[in-house]
Amino acid sequence: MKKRKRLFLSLPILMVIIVLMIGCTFRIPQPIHRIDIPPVDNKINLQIGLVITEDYRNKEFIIKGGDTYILPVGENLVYHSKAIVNQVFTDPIILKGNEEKKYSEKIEYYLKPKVLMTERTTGVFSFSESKTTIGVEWKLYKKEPKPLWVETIVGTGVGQSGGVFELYHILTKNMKSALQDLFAKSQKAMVSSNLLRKLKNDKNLLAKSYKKKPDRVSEGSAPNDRLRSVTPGDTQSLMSQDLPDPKRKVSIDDIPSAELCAEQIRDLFSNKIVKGTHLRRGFSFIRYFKPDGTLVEESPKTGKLSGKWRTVRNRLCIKWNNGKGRCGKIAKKDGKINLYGVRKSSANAPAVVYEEFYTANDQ
Amino acid sequence: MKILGLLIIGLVLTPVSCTTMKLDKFPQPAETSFVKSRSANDVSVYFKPLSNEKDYKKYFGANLMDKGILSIYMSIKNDSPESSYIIPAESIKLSIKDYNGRTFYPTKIEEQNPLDIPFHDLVVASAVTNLAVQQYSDATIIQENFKSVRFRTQTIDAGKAASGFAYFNLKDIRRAEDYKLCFKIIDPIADKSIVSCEKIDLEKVDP
Repeated sequence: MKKRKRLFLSLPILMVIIVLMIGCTFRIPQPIHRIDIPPVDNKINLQIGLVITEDYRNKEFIIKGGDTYILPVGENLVYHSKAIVNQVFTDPIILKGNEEKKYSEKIEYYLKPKVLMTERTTGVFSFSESKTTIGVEWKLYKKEPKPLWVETIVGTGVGQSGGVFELYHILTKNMKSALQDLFAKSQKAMVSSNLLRKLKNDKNLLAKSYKKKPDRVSEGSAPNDRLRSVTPGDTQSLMSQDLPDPKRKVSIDDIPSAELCAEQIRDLFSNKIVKGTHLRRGFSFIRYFKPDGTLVEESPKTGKLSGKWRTVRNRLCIKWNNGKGRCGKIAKKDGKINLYGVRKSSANAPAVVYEEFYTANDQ
Repeated sequence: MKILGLLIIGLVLTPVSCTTMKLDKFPQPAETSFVKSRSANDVSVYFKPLSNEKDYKKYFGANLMDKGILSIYMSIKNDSPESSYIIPAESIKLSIKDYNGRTFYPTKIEEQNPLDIPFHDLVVASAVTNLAVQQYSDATIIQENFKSVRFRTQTIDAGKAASGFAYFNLKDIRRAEDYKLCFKIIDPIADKSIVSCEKIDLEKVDP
C-alpha cells in the first residue's frame, strides 16, 4: 500500500522533470517597431516593383537553447521595406511574390528582399552583451536570376542577454535595435549606389497608362511647374478631370510636432490637394479633400477612388465608396504629417504619410 | 566551514572566469596589399588564408581548421572610374593541385547549403570555467560571427571595395602545393562576365 502511495506521489514529480528537460516553445509577438530612418533628399528616379514573397512576410526569428523562442518578424520586415523603398524610389509598386507576371507589362525593374541569416548571441550573465543579427539580401533585377544590383545588409542590435523573467522585453528591445540598424544601412546602401542612379526606365509603362486619361495641359490650362517636377506619375494624376489644379503649396512648418486636434485636422486638410504615401500598402497617391466632406484619390496602385472624409474625436476618418475606410490619429513628425492606426499594435508606426499640401484652385 | 569557504571562493571566481567571448575584427588590408588581377584590369584583389590556430582563435573564437574548415579572407576593390561590378559569392571556387598533379575542388560551405558545423564542439571550456552556460554563450558567438563575416554576393561601385570570408571544407584532402582561388566578375550594365583567378600562398596550411 505504501509502495503504491509513493509511486503515485512520484509520478507528478517525474512529469515536471520531463517537462523541464524537454524545454518549452514561446512565441513572442512583435508589434510594428517604430524606427527612425532619416528622409532621403534625392530620390532615385526609377520605377520599381518591390516583390514581397510569402517567405519574407512569414519570416520568424527562432532562438534555440534550452527553450525555444519564436519572434515573428515578417510583418516588421515588410512594413519597413515598403517604407524605405517609398523613401528611396519614385512611385514604387508593392507586389506579392506571385504578381510579377501580372505586372510584367507595367514594371521593368523588380527589387526583392530575402532574409539570409538570423542569429542571436547570448552572454554568460543576464547583464552580459547579446547581439541580435538579421541579414537581408536586396536584389534588383529585370529578369531573374540575372541581378543588376545586389547588396546584403547585416543589421545588428546590441543589448543585454536578459534573464528568464525579462527575456520577453529584452528580446523585443534587441529586435527593434537590429531592425533599426538593418533598415538604416539598407536605405544608405540604396541611396549611395551609383549603379542604381544610372538605371533608367526604358519604357515608363505605368506613366504611359496614365497618359491615356484626359490631359488638362493639352486643353490649355496653366501648368504648375513646381508640381510638374515632382514625378511623372503624380503630375499625370493631378491633371485628371476629378482633381482641380493645385494653386500654391501650403507650408506645414507652423504646425507643432504633436498630435493634432479635430479643428487643426480640418484646417489642414479641407480644400487641399495632398500628396502622400500609403506606407502599409506601399503606394503613392494624390488626394483632394473637398470642403463639402467628399474626397477623391488617384494613385498608380488603386486608380481612381472617391469617398467621404470627416473628423471624429480628434481623428481623421475616411470612408471610401467601395466600403473600405478607417480612422487614424494625425500627428506631425520629422516635418511630415503622419496618420497612425488606432490599434495598439500600429500606434507607433505611421500607416500613411501626407508629404505635401496644396490649396485647390477653386478656393 | 570548509564548504562555506569553497562556496565563497567559487562565487568570487565565477564572474572573473565567466566572461562573454570577444572576437577581433579582421583588419582591412592596406592599399599596397592589393594585387592587380590579371584577367580583369580594373579590379584589384587581396587574399589572406587563415593558416594558424592563433588567428582562428582571434577572429573566429575557435580553431576551425580542427573541423577541416579553411577560411580565406578576400577583399575586392573596383578601380574602375565608372563601372560597377557584381561578385557572386557562389562563383568563388578553390582549386587545389597536389604533388601528383591531380586537381581537387574542395566543397565550399555555402549560405544556402551550409555544412552542419558543430559549433558547440568547437568550444573548449577550461577546467575552472567548465560551465554549460559559458560553453553555450561561446558557441552562439562563434556561430553568429562565422555567418556575419561571410563574403556575400554584392555590387561594388567604382572606387569601392567589398570583403568577407569564403569557407571551404578541406576534410579528406591531402597536403597540396598549388592553391588557386577563382571568382566571377559581372558587369551588369554591359551584361558581360569574366572569371578572375589568383594563386594563393597557402604554404603554411596543412589540411
